Amino acid sequence: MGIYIKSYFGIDDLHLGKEAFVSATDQLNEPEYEVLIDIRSMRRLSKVLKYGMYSSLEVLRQADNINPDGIISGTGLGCTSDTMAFLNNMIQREEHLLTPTAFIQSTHNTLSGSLGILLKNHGYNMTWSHRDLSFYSALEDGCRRLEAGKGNNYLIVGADEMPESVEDIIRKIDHCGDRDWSEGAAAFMIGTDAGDSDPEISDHGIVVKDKFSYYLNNINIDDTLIINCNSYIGEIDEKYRKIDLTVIKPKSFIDDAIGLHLACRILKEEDSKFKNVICIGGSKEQISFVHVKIS
Amino acid sequence: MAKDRIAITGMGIYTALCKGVSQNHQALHNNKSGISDITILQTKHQGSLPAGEIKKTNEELRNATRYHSDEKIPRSVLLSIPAIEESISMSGMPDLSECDFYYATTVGGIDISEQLLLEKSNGIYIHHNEFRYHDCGASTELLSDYFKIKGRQYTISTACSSSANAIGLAAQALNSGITKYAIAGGADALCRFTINGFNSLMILDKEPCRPMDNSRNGLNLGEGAAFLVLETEQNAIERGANILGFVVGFSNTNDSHHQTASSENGEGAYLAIQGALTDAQLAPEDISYINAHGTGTQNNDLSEGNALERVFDQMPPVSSTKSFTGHTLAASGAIEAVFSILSLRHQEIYPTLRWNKKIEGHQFASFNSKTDHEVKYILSNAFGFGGNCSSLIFGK
Repeated sequence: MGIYIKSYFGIDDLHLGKEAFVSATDQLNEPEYEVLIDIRSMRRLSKVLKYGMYSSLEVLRQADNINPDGIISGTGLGCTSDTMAFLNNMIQREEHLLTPTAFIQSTHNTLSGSLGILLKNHGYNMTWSHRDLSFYSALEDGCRRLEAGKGNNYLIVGADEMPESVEDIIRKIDHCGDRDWSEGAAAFMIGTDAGDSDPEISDHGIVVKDKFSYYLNNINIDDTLIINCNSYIGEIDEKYRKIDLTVIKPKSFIDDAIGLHLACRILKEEDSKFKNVICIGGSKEQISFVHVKIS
Repeated sequence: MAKDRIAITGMGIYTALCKGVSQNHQALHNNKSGISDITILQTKHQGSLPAGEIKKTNEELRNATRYHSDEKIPRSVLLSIPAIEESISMSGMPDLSECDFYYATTVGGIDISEQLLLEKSNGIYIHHNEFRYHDCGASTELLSDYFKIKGRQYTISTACSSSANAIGLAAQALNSGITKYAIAGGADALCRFTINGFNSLMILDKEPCRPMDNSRNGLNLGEGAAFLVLETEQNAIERGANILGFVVGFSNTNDSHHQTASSENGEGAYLAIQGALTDAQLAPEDISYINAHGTGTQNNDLSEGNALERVFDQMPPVSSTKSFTGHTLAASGAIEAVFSILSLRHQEIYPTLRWNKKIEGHQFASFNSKTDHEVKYILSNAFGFGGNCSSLIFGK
């Protein structure tokens, strides 16, 4: 059984040029949110919710608005601006007379939950929050459910925000040197029935470094591109064509979602010479990879 | 899941009742409540809001670990350590090289962040680095490092259903054969963030809570940690492990109604319970006892009861052990899983403390003292913000 990416959309800080030349943009490439999100509700939405919801709704629109069997999100930091807003308010008001709005929107599963409510979706609803492995955990969860025959389509979304007020205090949350932080989202509709030229998730996993080197030794290097989404993998042999997001863009915990979105776009380019893209993510101890191909 | 049963071979727990499985059993067995005035957590609500607080300071908890005295470790992690230790030791798992870790939390390191922000607001210099354990994943990495868990690490954060999901997801992963063992559970510590958050929603009872009672008036928060060691039945038998019980069914759904309130007919809960029964290949009449989510709020208990009445023509005994521990948020699913296994092993069911009168509009009652009862299968519910609804079924 194959698992295919039927539609995808991302909000990120990357520009894709000719022949898979990728550069960073100064600002996030943001859409006209009010096209898909009600303008009255938008004022209440934090950035992570806005990015995540818009990406998800766009992916659903592209997939003929099928209601998926489940909604699975990955977020490294969760709703950090609402968390900080409530904390700061609590300290300022010395724990008296607090309004609940920020608290209500502070739980990590606010995005999945809000999408469930908006889409009237009673299906599976999960949220993973494990640093650089947050989005991968969500994708793996969706793939496992499809493989187990639990439904046909899952909406997978990775989203994170890094508001300036928050960056100031939690920018050292990760031991990744002095890289700046960025934010964004990418969403994917994955399913078991393939449309014309849908990228297929041909393999994925969490492995240790040695095992991953072995995996790389067995691929066709002529039509394969490697996207390094984080900095833990170390040097990748010169013989591979690669894009290194850790050099190109500021960091976020969902860079593997941004990388997979980039992979889909490159594979779908009209004259793309790449048939395979391997996105690498993970933590210091464990490497996650997603191998997508197009036939 | 019924084809390949997932065995529970170890468990560990730390609640306001006590540290350790047998001590928690004693408290449950003797109707002993863990709800008290808050004395450890420094909050303006000391003396006005009772909670299921563990009466140890962070320093006392940390001194019982290998952490250095100058390290600021999230309280949830400090509560997890003895519970994980107990679960590993009970399981007799040979080593942790083929063990995955499913950790659930909502608070993560917010207890540290809120203290640092308070100090910062008082003009004390705080270095960025001190916030490094703020996110949920940081706690999982701390615990994996502490125990040298070599398998995959996952962090689940779906509000109050988090650790029920951790257990269900670990069981499914074991069923798919990708790992040999899993430690699954979760922890949440009391902190000002959650107390003030729930207080702003006006759903905290100023008295010890009365879940599933007609006079219920809100929930009490609690804190704690609980973990299960899971493996396939075949693996457990082959290595001669002592099997404590089985995870036989799991389902997660969305209520799709409101961010913090449950729908009146409990649609999400109804679908989760039905899903877990289907997963376990069981009929409603196979369930001998229901450990309800039963928070004590007007909304939850009415909605959950309505969902139960839609599923069960003949209602088995139902109770909420949150009347013992308070609502421990992300830890509650795993804590109630341990209580469910205790029920299965001792063939007794634990009551809803302080329960007096059934909820108007419901046909079924709860009960207020420990009862000997034949227990074969237990349904355990856990629901969270965002409409997250999870049901687990445990069997002998």
